[in-house]
Amino acid sequence: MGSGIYGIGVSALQNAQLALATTSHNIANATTEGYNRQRIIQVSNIATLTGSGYVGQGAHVSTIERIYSSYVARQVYSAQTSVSELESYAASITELNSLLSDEDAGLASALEGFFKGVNQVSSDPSSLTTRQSMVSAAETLVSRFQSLDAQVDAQYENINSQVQGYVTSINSYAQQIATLNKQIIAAEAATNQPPNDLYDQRDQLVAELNKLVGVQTTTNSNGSLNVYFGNGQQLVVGTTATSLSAVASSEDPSRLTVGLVNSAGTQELPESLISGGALAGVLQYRSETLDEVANELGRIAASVALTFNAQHALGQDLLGSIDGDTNFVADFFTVGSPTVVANTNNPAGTATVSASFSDPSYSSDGTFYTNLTTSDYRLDYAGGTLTLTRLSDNASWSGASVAALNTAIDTSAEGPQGFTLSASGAFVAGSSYLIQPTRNAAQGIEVNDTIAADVRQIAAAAPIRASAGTSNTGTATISAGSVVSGYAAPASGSPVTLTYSSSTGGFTGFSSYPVTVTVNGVATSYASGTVPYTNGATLSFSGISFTISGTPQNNDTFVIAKNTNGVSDNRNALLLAQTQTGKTMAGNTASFATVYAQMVSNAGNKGSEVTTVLAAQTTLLTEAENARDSVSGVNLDEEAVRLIEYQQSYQAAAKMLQIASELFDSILAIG
Amino acid sequence: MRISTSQIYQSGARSLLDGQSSLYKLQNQLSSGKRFLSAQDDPVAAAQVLLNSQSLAINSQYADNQANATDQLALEEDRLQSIVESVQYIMEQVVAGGNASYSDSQREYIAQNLQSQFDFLLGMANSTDASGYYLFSGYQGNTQPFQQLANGSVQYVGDDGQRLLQVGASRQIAVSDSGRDIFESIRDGNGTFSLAAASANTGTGIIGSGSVLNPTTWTGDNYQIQFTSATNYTVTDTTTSTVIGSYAYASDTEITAVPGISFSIEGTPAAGDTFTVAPSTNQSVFATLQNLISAFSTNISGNATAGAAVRNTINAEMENLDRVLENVSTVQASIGSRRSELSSLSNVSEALELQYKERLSNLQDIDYAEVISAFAQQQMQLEAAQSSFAKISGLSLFNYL
Repeated sequence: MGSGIYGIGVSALQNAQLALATTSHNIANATTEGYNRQRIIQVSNIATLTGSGYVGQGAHVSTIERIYSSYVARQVYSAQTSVSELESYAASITELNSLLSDEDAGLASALEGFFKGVNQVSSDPSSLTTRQSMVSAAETLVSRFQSLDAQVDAQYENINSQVQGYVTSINSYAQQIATLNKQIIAAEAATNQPPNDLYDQRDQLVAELNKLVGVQTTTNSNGSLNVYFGNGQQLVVGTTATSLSAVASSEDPSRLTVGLVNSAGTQELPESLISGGALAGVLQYRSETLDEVANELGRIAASVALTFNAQHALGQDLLGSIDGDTNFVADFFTVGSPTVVANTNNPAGTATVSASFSDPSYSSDGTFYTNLTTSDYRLDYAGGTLTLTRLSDNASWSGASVAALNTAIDTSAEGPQGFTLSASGAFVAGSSYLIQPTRNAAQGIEVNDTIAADVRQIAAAAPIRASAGTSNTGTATISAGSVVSGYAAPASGSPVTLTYSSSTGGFTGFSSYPVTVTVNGVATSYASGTVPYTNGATLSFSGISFTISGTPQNNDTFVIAKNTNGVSDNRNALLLAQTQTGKTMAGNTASFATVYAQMVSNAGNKGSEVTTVLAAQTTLLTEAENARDSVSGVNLDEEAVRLIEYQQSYQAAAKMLQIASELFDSILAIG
Repeated sequence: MRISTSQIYQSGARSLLDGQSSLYKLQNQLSSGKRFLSAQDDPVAAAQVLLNSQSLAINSQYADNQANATDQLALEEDRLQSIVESVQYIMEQVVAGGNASYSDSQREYIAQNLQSQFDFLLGMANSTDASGYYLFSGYQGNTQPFQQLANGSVQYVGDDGQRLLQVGASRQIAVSDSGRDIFESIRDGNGTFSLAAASANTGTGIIGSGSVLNPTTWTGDNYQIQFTSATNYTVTDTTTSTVIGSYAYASDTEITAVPGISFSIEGTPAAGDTFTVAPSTNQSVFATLQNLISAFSTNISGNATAGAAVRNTINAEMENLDRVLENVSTVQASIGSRRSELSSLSNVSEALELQYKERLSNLQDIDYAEVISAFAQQQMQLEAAQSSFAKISGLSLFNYL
């Protein structure tokens, strides 16, 4: 009887000790990251049957369990991985946006400054001072392009090192999880009791891993955990961890992407597979926003250079040189060529591809414009056919040769894409090339050195001038005249003199045919002979256009001559200044400033979207964490209550032993 | 709901951080005066700010160009006014010199007077701007436009170029006029046709100024009036070599034999004397002056034939001086209208500038009252969060054990 009380008292004492230890453990780990509170599970011992019935035999602790809900934990993981992804996206885009929004560092002020310089030249074309200040403003513009591009480049570099860092951390976490799996399997097999603190540590590692890349987990019967990412790529299986590696993308070796290391070597993973976590955030930011901004900056730079150059080529410099003269510098800016990157997996001996910017198109209202887009393109060769795919929308063109492909692009519904391909050597099947028409244009734009060194070479004047003969008796007048690309100006000293004959009612004396007469938008071409006169009609030949209006008399002459000594002429400078507001980009639909504003607005919108979603996701995460902490977190007041409770249990059990002892003493006293 | 201790601390920290970040943002707005510092705070407004800033910059460029154009036109107008005054003085001199009582030496004195005016006008025509570029040479700012040849005549070597400035989005205004337009392209005679006496005339016939009766019947051909005797003359269309008819001469009577026009001849022409009618061509102001100078330098005392020849020249050139004045005034009027357009354009630019600035301000400037009150509210919230956190964190059962 007495031993029964002893036995029960001892079990109660032991139970109270275990309970106190567990409570103390909880208090000690109240601030441990990832700790789930534990509690003892106490069950009563099997009762002993006596004649008087079943007599209770005290209690024992069957196990110590952690208070943990895998459902709530999953909710935290899923919220955490998207918060981490958005945070890394938001950090990068916020930096980009503050760069683009800075009035002093942005492009808008530099563009305005440059065109102010052009306007100054147009108001005083013969002054070297205004020309110098235009060149200085142009230098400011190109250095602004370059510094913006350098900042964008720095972000690319930064992302590369982030990818490298994240991959290293992921590998380390995966390895640690595999090691813990091993320990957990051993611990469980030995005792068949849950190693709660190992579980907590492993869950914490999964949570950390999840901040870097979104993962899913499954639990095996032996207690180990399998970890997957993407659409089922194994990262940890049981005690084995797979390594990831940061590898140079085969499409564009300048950027690091994620590869999976297996027995066959390193296999590059499509970036779309990586979702969730900071790694996905930077990869997505790079392909979605940074590429767009880099390409857009380049597109503006290339368009400024190409359209300004095209108009500049139609002018005459202060030294009297025009297009075709040895000393004439047609290009005010130099801008390099589109970037073509051959895939590193291309078969040996395949063709080398290069690309060049197409000459700007010329609209009916006299504006040069480019057709460049912000997309990158991929050129593939397979089955004897070259296919060019625009990566932004997967529009594609194909042709049997590069020439056929170029023609197919120009004549397609999408129209020209602003660049022309060329290739040397024969294509081998399976070749692929990445074409980035505008990626590096902002870095490559420069003011032409020759012009910077001699500002007289700015072509502010028009190459021709037109005048009515001094001895004309009629009242007809001739407009100043203009030229288009490919014009042929009369040679110096041998002007073209058109003579009106009243008997034929037309002009003779054209230096070349055909002569096109445009009346109210209707053009008629004359291959030879007399060209009939219509009041107000526009006449064009050799790329030179002018209008004669009024009433000419017999033998009246009109002279079109080279603009020799035309140092005060500002006609080309006026046209150059107009490229500021003309629809010079995106197939004659937008000006430089509107495209830039659009870019700033797009990046701003994306940034605002990301920060808004981030705020919402953070709220979700907070809620999920609250749900988790509410169940699993340690409450010190609660533990204080438990301490008192278990202390009293302990004291009561001790009292039980004392009573048992006294009972025994009473029996002994009898004897 | 069960709350864990870490939740109390985390939510306390979170609300403090949130409050501080809101205050930081408001403080930034207050110190910069801008509603947003990054495009992602308000992407639409950021794009509009960029476009508005460019419009403002372009507008101010137009305003600069307008001021520039006004200055250049003012300079030109100033020169043209001097030219008008000089031509008016010349006309007074020529009228005075027509006085029949003037002696040859008095006329020589007028010739010298005209010569100095000629030099003055030539100087004006070759005048330069502040940077030393010729005003009236068209596009060729470095080329002296009016050059005097060895024979004294003046040749224009400039061109017809007119310099334009962009003074509005779709408006270019001419800020120069070529020397040819001002000094060279001056129609002689009455602007439609000119009359002249042949230099070999032996009589004293003086041809007067003519007028156009009917512009539609005026052919534009050359005509010749040839006196077959002192009382008869024939009229021939020399362009088509058609004899129009033979007529009896009466001094100072309208001759209407040439279709569409009329003129008169007075005095006593001799047989064989011819007079011509020609369509107007351009004659420079310098040629006109030279003709007058040589007319006034010719000795005519006692020589009626020479007197008549000089008279004919002076009559014709006096008419040409009218055309000169007319031509320069036309250019002046055109400058005047350009300047008045510029002044109204400049009003438009000023109004636009105000509008753009107001719009920019609406887009990006903060409303101080609003932000300051938001700041005060946020401050209060943060203080409440701080004080409640301090109180809650002080609560613990362990304090009582």
